[in-house]
Amino acid sequence: MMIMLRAEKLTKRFLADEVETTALDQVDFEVAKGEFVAIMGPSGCGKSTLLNIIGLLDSPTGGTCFFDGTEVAGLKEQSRSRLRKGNIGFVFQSFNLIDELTVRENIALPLLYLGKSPDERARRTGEVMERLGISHRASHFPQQLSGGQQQRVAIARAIVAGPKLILADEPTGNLDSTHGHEVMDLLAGLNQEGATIVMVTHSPVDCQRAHRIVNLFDGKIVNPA
Amino acid sequence: MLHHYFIVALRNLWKHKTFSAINILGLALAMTACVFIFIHVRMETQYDTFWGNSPRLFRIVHDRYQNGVLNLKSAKACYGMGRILQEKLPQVEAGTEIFRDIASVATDERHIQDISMFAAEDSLFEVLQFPFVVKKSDHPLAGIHSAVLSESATIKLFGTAQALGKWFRVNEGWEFEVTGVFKDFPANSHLGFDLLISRKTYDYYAARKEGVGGRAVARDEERLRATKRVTDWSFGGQGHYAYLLLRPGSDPRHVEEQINRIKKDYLKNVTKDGTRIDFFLQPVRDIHLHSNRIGEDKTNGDYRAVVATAVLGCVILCIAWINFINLSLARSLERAKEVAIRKVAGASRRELVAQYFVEYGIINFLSAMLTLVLVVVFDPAVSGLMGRELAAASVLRDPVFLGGAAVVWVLGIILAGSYPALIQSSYDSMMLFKPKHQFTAHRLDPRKILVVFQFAVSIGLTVGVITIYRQLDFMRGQALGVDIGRTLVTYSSMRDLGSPKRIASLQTYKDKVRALPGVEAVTTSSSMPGSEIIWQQQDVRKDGDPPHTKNNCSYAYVDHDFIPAFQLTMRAGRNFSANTAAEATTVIVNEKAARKFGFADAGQAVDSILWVGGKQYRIVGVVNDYHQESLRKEIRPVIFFCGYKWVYEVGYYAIKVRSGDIRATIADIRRAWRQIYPMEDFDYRFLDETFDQQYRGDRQFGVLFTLFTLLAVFIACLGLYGLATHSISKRTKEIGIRKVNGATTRQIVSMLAGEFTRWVAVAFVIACPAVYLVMEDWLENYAYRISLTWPTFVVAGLLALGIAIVTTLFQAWRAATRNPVDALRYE
Repeated sequence: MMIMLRAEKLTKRFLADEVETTALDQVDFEVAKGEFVAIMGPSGCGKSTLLNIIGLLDSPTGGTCFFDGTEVAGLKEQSRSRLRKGNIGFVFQSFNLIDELTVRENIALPLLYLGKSPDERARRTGEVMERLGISHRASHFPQQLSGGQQQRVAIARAIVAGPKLILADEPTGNLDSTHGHEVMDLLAGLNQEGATIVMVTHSPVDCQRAHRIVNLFDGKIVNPA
Repeated sequence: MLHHYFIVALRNLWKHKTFSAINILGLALAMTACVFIFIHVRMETQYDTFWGNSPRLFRIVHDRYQNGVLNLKSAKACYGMGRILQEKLPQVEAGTEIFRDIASVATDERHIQDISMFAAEDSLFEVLQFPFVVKKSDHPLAGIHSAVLSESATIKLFGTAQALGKWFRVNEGWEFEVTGVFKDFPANSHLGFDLLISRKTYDYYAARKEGVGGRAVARDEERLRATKRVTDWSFGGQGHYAYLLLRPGSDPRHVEEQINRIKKDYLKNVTKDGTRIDFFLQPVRDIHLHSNRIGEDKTNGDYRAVVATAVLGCVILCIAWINFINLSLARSLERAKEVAIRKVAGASRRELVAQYFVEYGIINFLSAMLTLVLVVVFDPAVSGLMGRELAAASVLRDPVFLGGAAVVWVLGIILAGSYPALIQSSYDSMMLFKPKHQFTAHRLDPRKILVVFQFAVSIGLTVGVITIYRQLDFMRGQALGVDIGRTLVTYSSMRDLGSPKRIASLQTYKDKVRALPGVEAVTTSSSMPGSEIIWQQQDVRKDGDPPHTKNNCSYAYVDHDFIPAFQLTMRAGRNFSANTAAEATTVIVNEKAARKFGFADAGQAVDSILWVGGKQYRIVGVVNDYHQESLRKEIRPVIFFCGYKWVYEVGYYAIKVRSGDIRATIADIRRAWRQIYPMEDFDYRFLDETFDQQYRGDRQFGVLFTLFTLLAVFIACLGLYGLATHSISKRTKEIGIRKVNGATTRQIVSMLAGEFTRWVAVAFVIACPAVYLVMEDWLENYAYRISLTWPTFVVAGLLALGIAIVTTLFQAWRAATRNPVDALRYE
């Protein structure tokens, strides 16, 4: 089994107004390539913190973290950013699309920062839109779309650069059940095509789509990794 | 990538129209102000650069000393100097003199009143080189009756610039032929003329009696050609502007020394009786900002005012840049999400900074475009206010200006854009995982500091404007103590210096002028009110004081008409009598002198004895103190002697004319002058105009200062409006919660507006001491000045406060009257 992510004794502490909060406490965590993992737990248990660290958006206070065999725990923001680029795609609860960009431009954003040519950007964006059924909305702005459509755009953006890992933070949290199902179908489909997915969710229904569920409580994993 | 940046920037600007408009308008207004200030400063500093060979062009000026004491700093020099210096000094390539006269010109169809005219020799064109539209020959002023006109005057007079060979009349009698038409001078010349006439012809006409006119000169041409060349520099007085063109590489200081070495051969007639004349060479390009001598052709500028104006321009630009920074920062939190998304998508900080700079570049570009429109639209209004033709549109084609503007433009983007770009690009992607209300602004919010700075500057400028106008009002409102209205002044004739003949001609001239129906009074004196002080100083003491006692006084020689002509008041004693010989040992002093000598009051001074230079004089009267010069200068103690000693020195005739046909009266006086002094030029000016010109620079500075202060305050208000809008919209939820919990509209309005008034209060505290020091320093220039009182500061502070409240009140009221349910839903 090829390992995509491995975290050992991962710790994250926040210091605010001289009060120290431990968000992650010696977490050991592993994700295999092609795996679909769901992280569950109550609010404030450290789910998003874990997602940020494995998504190379944040660095841990202690412990080690390997992404595709590379130690990333001690990396500076610039190095993390370089590694993140094209390798990790994000899907958020609140979609996080840029209002001033059209659907096409939002999806093309990672390709833009990867320095891809306009032609390649157009081709790959077109393919992804086609696949997710949003081609007819290419020139629309996010405000003109429904929540489900917006999340499709966000997923399209997450996968357009062909990342090794897709991280989803409560992807159905802002959607009704119909749209929620559609999004989960999409993610499951991507996983079946080989994508590695780590998803944070509160939904007991959504987590059923995952191969494995990791439960976090007060910064610790309460079931074995 | 750049394409993407452009698209995003344009959409952002369009989406946030109010912010974009405030930003663009604020920057454009500031840049417009800077363009006008640039034009003004450039005009002031680029005077006289348009002459061909201007770096080698010099004006000869002179200082006149009497018994070793400086008594005249003149902008003029002597007739004949140019040619003689050209012959004697190898460094002088060419030299010439011109003499100003005001004239009217006419053809049978058209006429121009008060055309600015100089009598000049053809050598003028070798020295002062300027372009012609058309000319008859290479020596357009060499012939008898020849005249050259400016293009605009030619068109005015003949309806076309093609007027070569056409004849016209000067002062209804002298006839001239157009032998050349020159392009109008730029406004930034220390010298202004529309007509140049042949010097020989002018001398001929000036020497002729009334009734001789027409083309009489041509008939006498042969005789004129034989006219003896002028070899005495005292001929015609020292009333000519004289210019030299030096050869390349010549040292003007060396030339100056040589002129002063050879001058004795040409000034024998003048240097009798202890008079000394020192000549100096002034680079023509320095005249406007660095020369303030008696007899300048135009009122010159003040170097310090130019610097102050340039500083004001920078301040306005800073205020606009601060607005820009503030408004960008205000929106930075909104845009934090965008930054985070881009970072998650792989954007580096460098790429984000570049994106912001593209956006700032577009804002600045749009501002620059709007600036061009504003400059053209406001050009006539600003020109009118500043009393000068700015011709802004032509400056916009000037490569130096465009280059400078590009530098300032880029500098603005870098200076004002760096901070917000760095701040905004610093937001991390973690923001996407936080609820909206957890976003916090950057640790220390610099916006408040910047707004406080803007308001401090606005308050400071307002105090400045109030102070300048109070001081100008104070000076205009002050009684001068002397009546200078309708008073025409001419220099005394320099003929027959030291001879009793001179006094006889003077008396005849006075009698002739006094007899004219339009003349109210005539007086002669060694000095005139309204001009730079020309008094001499001596050690003076009261009889009874120890012999070593020294009092430094000014003194003047006046006739018995002086005091009534200027409506001075005798505080005690009497005026001089008409019997000059009987007044040989009497003096009149002013009140200041009486006090200086220690007399308790004016009455006590009368009949006391003064020792002046070892001679005894009896004080026969005490006259009121009056302002000899502008209120910048202090009234000095003055002793008036009676008599004509002044005829050996620089002297003046003052003629008070009756209201009515002043022009006809002047023509009469000119005629009388020519009868008595046929070979002398009639060079006159009006005393009140001369006096008022002393304040012209102050007035112009005041207008400029007010205009740009208003603009600075307006731009600051734009910024405050933008900030208030943003700041209040950020508090929508808070306002809703407060209202749900019972807050009234009034309480909410005062809470919101209160925040901004606190900023103004802090600005006020910072501004007051700084502006106090600056304005105290400015007022030190004036001997008679207002004092800086607290109401000025309070008014400026209240104005700023009022403006801040008005700017924010509407926003606050709108937020406070909103339905709280909407507010909470919105949030």
